Amino acid sequence: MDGTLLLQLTINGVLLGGVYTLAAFGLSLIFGVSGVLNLAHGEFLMLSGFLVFLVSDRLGINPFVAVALVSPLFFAVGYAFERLLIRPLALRKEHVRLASATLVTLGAALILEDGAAFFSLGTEFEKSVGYFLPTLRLGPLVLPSLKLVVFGLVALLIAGLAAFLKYTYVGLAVQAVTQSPRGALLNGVPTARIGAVAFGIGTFLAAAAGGLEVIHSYVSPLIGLPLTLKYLCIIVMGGLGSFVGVALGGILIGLGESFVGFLNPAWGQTVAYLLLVLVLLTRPTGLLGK
Amino acid sequence: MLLGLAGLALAALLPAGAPQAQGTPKEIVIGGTISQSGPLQGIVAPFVKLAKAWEDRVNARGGIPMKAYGKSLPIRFVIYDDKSDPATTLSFYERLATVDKVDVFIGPFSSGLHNAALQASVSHKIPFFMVEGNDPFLFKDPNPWRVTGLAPADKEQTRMVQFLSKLGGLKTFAILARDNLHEKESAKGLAEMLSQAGFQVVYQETAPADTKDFASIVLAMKQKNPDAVVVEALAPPSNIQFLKQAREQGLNPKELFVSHAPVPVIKGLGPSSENMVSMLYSFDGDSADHKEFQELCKAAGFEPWQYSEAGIRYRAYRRIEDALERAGTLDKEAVRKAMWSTDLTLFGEEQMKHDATGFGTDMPYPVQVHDGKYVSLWPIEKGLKVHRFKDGKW
Repeated sequence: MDGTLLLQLTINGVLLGGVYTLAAFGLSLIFGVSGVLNLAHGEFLMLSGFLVFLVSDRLGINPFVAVALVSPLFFAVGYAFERLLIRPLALRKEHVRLASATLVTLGAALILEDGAAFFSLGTEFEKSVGYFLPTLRLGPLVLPSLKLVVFGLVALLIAGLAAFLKYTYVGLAVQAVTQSPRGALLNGVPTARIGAVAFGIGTFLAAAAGGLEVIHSYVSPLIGLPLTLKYLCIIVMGGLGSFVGVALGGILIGLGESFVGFLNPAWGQTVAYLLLVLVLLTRPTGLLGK
Repeated sequence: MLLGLAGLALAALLPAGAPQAQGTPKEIVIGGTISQSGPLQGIVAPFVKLAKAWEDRVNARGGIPMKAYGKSLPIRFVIYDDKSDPATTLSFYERLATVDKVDVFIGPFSSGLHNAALQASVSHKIPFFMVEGNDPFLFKDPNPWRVTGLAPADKEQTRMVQFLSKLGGLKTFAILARDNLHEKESAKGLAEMLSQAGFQVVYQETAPADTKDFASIVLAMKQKNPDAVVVEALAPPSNIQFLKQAREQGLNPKELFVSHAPVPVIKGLGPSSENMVSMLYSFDGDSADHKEFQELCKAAGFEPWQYSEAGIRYRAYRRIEDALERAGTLDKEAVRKAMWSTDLTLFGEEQMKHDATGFGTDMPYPVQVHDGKYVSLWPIEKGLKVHRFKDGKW
């Protein structure tokens, strides 16, 4: 394997991992604040992808503009999801609450999946926007321009999220609840409302990822749960509650898929789970978990 | 209560089908499933309407003549949604046999669903025309109750190889198949036929069915610098995703062949799909069969080029009608035998036959995207004039 090929595989892997990271951040945020493993996370990604396709296709507008229009709506969806389905479980014993919440999100995921399949807009099950950008070349290297733009937007969104968490009252409250819900409550933080806000932000991030997914890839009603599992892999590998860990986990999985997929496509998809097992055997709390 | 129980016991003692054998049937019931939901719907969903159009057509001309009853009988389709799922498929074929009491089974889409439906055909001894199932495992064990119209999966691309051999200008091929039975078998057969025809297969790999990122595979293909790239993917979205990334990564083959590429693939690629070669189970022509097929598709609400498998369905309807007419009765053994001994000629040049295992002769024809829709590259002489190399232009 020559140097150019190694560099090309690395570029591809980093870009792929970066795209994974956005939705994984959302899942991590929700888990950090509420302790709920939201198995419907990938379904919101899928629904947003469908909506972005619809808006772009039917109204004839640029798909990136459609992402900007559609994904903020999912803040309200996530907020309402928490208020209607997760909050009612809040007063149960901790282990019952977590188990019930996980099952509720699983049920919601299956309903959304079936619903999307049922209403999948005629006979075209999969949606993909036929949008391309000219390929960029850097000497012998190819820079997949569309993925590069998506990666740039993901980086912007993550930077925005980091700034939000660091410099706003709500962001600081989210961090406080993540560190210690009881401590935050004693300091006057409205933890219940912050939980709903975290769900809203997390779902917004999933929706943004879904919109970008339909541009550079495709969405179908069945992609939700497998993607949620991959994001779960990323946040566990990175270390639960660590945003830098999530980024690291995403990039590592992207690199793993890129290199292994080149050598043998049959193992390209399995590498995420092999890496997870490897990391957990050596660092049970994940790469950057405490 | 006692009377009811006695009635049930008596019914259980009577041989199955005895009441039917005594009277003249009023209609011919043909039952099957078609995916109206799940991942396969994009390829076959409108075929419910296609079946209805054929039913209307046959009944408008008085039905199918049945010698044994001295009259023609109208036909009626009973079709359920198998949700693209084998378990659901089996349960509906059981229902078709036991509740709807169909005379003939017509197959679903894909070898996987056929495998499920076969069990009902064997246990209830109902003649089964397997429309869209042609993988060797379905024919491994002798089974007199089923035949398919299709040639074996590994011979599926015969006409494509014939066309490429005449076309010239191509030497090396890269082939990618998705990891499922049919695609692997078809890709394997294509690679063998290409090698026999003097081409060189420089890359041949199988990607897991859930692969979403093909960048590494594209890169590996680029290393081999093939003249032609072949994607053997049964249904979108794998092929859409592969093609998007091939374009983005600068894989620019002279010829691009995507074997199962329905309309969503053309839409998903937009103008980049121009000059992409694919396959369709029909070709342009002006025979009476061509006209009838076009009218059926129109009645079902689509154009023949939009659903590559529509041609297989049409051939299946014709074969079933022919078998029933020759049998002249709804006796299942007679219908079964008539199905095996078909000798129809359709579309002016296709002679329908079955080999000793039950495989048929139907194979797809090469087509190419021109201005966002497929145009036929068959007959070969016409195709050679119409064909345009992709020449790396996305």
